[in-house]
Amino acid sequence: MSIYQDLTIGQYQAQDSIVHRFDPRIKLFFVLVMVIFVALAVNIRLYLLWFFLLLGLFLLTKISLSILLRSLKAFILFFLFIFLLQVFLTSESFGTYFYLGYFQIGTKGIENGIIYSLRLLLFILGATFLSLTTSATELLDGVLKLSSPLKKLKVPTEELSLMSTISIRFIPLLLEEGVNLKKAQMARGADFEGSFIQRIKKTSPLLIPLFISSFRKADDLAVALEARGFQSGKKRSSYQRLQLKWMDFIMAGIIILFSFVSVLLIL
Amino acid sequence: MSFTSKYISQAGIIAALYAVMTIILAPISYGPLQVRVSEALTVLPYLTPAAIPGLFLGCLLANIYGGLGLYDIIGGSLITLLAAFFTYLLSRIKRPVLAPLPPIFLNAFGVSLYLHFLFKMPYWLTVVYVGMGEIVACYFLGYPLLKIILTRKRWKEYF
Repeated sequence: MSIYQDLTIGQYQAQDSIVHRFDPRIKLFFVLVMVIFVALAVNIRLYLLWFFLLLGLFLLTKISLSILLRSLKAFILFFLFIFLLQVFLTSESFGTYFYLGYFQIGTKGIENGIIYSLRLLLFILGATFLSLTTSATELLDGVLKLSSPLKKLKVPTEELSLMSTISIRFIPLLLEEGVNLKKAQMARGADFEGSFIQRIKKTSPLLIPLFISSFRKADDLAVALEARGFQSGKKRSSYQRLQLKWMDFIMAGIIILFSFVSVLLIL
Repeated sequence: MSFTSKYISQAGIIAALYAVMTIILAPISYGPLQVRVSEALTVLPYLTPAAIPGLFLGCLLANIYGGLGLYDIIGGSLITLLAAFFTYLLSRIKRPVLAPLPPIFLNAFGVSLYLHFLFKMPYWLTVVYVGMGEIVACYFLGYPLLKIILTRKRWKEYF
């Protein structure tokens, strides 16, 4: 089991907290609004405002902060890259600065580095917040409800929802199969080591069987769907329906309040 | 619009495959210096149109799991959708060697565009980095994969 623990999609942490019980649409709305403000403005006070709201929500989730830090760890290089790029490539016209060889390093560059790293941090934290507190099925449900106006544009939202449900269901199965295939190929003497390019090329003895068995599964699944009388294009009902509760409205109020303050900060 | 059961199940499973491959290889799958091995699957629309929504949803799921949040979720997935559609169109000219071109070009120029605007990364440098990652995934892995499938009669029956 331990192999798959870090790999579960969405890294959802089941907890009984107020944030978990929020409607997925509200959580999506929150992240959407935050990302729009953060992307539009280059304003450190605005970033901190949303950062603290996000942090407050995290504390309410009863999820330990170490999980959060673990998910950020994968991006350390990216943070460093963005920060150093700004520090080295910003040209200063005022403020204090000095030369390090060819590069000009000064307060403006460091300030920009902090601002763009903070922006990246907020983007990543927003997505992590969603995936930690909302199960993949809930999230999809929310996305589909929000995208239902697209149906008027002939976008097949219901079929897309069925496809996503299938894929979420199959992710753990395929993961298990991948691990088994790797063991089977290693038992036959396959070696997955070597230089970077070599390692990529060597994934094909793994990829091709995984591939073919997946398509065999898809064939079986199609038969199963037919056998259960599935017809595309018919209206479908769902077992669990989304309904807004009073706390969702309070959260919506908080989001609107923060948006208002953000507009004031930008102006 | 209505779809056959086979189309829907194939699309769902292609999405799962894409997401699994991205997530297993997470450390090299995200960020500007990425080689997403799962991008090898972008050759699939050459074989079946079901791969168009499949790759789109797979990319969506993988980007919800990790990545830059909403920009990658919306921008990255739409680019993948568009690339998959072009690859599907290319399948009409029977030249499998062209199949990986749309994902390489669209990702290199498109992803770099939003990375440039959001994080002020130098545009052309990012184009080169993202493009190289895509070339490795698509031509070193995706194209051989496609050629192998095309030469096996029994496997072609699945599509």
